[in-house]
Amino acid sequence: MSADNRYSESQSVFERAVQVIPGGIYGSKSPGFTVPGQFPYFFTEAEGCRVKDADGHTYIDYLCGFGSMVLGFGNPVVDNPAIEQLRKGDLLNCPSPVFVDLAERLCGLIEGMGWTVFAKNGTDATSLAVTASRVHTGKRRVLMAGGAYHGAANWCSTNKFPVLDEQDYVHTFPYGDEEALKELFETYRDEIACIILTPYHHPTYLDQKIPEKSWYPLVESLCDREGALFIMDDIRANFRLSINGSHSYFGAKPHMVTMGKSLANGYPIAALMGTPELKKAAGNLFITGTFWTSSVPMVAAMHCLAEMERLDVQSHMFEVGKMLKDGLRDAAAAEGYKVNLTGPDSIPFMTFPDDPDMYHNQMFSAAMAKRGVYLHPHHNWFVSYAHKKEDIQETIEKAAESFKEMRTR
Amino acid sequence: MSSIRKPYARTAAAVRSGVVASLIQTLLTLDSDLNKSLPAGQYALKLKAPESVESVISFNGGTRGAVLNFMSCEAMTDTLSGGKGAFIPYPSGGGFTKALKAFQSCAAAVSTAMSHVPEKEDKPGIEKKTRLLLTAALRGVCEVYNHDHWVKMKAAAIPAGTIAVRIAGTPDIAGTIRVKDKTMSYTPGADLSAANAVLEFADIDTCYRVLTGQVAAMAELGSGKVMLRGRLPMIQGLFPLLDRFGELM
Repeated sequence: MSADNRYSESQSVFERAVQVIPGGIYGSKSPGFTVPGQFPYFFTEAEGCRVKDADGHTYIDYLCGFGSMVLGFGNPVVDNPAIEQLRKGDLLNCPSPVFVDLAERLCGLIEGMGWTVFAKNGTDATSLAVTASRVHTGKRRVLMAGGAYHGAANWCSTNKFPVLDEQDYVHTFPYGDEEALKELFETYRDEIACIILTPYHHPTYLDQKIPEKSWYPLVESLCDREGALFIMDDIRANFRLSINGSHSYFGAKPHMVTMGKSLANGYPIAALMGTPELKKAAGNLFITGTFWTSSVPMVAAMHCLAEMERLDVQSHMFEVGKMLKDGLRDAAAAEGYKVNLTGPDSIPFMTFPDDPDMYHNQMFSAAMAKRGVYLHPHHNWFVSYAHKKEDIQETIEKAAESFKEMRTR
Repeated sequence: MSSIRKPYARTAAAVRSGVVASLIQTLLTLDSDLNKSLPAGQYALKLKAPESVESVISFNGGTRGAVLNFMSCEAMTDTLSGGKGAFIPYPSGGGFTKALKAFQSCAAAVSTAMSHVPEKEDKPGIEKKTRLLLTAALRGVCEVYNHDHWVKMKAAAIPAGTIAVRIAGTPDIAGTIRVKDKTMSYTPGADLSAANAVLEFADIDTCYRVLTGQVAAMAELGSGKVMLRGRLPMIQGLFPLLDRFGELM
């Protein structure tokens, strides 16, 4: 592989970026997380399911702003009222009444939840949830699955330095491993504040894993016995499995649910919700952020929720996601490649089981980017309501070309 | 702020001695005059300091000869950096005098080679210096990982396996880092078909400029002149080690 002039503007901007920004672009948006030299690093605009990069190339997009764009980019049903609110005022001294409208709306919509607090990013919500569980239970230990992503805070991130001791009371287990989970509950009996789980396992670089039917009943019974809280971190899967929360899709009964990303179709808002009996614990926390009550994302969320309900977006995303999975599997097989397509149909990901080092993922994603399809090589993909069957068909045709190109290299 | 904390004496000594040993071995493959000037026969020299810091330099495949036993890790670092430090040489088999003489000649040659800055047009000079710098960086990274607990914690997520580091179109300038049982080791050469991850420089010039700090690796990564392939967490884990190596050297 070598550098591609196709992305010269992205590369030029990136060269400026490294002069003034540590790493140039940090975190999950870093070029080092894609296929450096053969992927765009900067985007300028988007509409529907298509994004345009800094070099002017357009892509059918399957990252959807890391899952945030559930209705598609530039959806007027969401954007027009949001822009109207922006003109009236976004960040006011105190919340706008829409603050309460949205909390009421979510409490009526998300199964089992009785209160809501708002923040900006998923990390805010998951960190608040863990803090609330510690305050409520008077215990300190937190259990999470190894490889699960719950945000960029030090208690759960890859910042592993001795001076950052937030992870001293965080313990991991292999997702879905019932015996390992029972053992942790036994080892730390009477010390566990909470377990935090994503609705299903979506680790970076690996196949996604749907929980067994026995998983959530076990989690709930262990939490009941321990007096620990069960937090469902629904930030990433949010509204792509069910309009009532991903926990309802799996029949789980968490004490708290975090959400964000697709809640407002790309506007910056996250939420922590909880069962009615936990409202007091949450009320004891000092919760604030300068921008956490801004009105525009809340207006956007109100209209996004209404539109998602009206259109039954989940059914559509399952349908086009399944079409994508089937098409990719067939296109791969035609060139002699075996692929794993894992995760819910609305949040698919593809790996090559014969290549755990992901060389093939990187070659495939680079080949697709060259053809105008943005499929991340290492992070799970997303479809949105804006992906229509024609977009999926075009993607499958380009995938067939890409697999063929891989075969000839 | 060039360094976030003072290095452990053991880390500095392990990095310094490991790099010197590897540089001597590499230089011996590049400099036939140096080779010819060494005493004949098979022998070896071990650089040894407290806290299990050891590096062995083999001449013509020898395994025994002399040990330079440094009184402290600080003494080892000082001596191998061109300063003065206390050490006791003692024999570990035949070839004691030969090993001491050979080490003296080779250490001086390494020092000269590493301080030499080739002209832009001096392609053979740049190639030779690139080989030495790559050797130093890869061996140094391994020693940082093995001896610096702080950085090792940060790099704990590096999975077991091998990373091939190479320059496109110049397959003989390459090295392999292997992670096994939480220990990292370096060997010259690279087998791409067996590597779990590949770090590849587009050309000698890119590698040279990155290793001499003329350009940031991250910028070259963005431009595609430094390529990462395969199991990326392995390579990403190298970056804090490289940073620390840069601080120590």
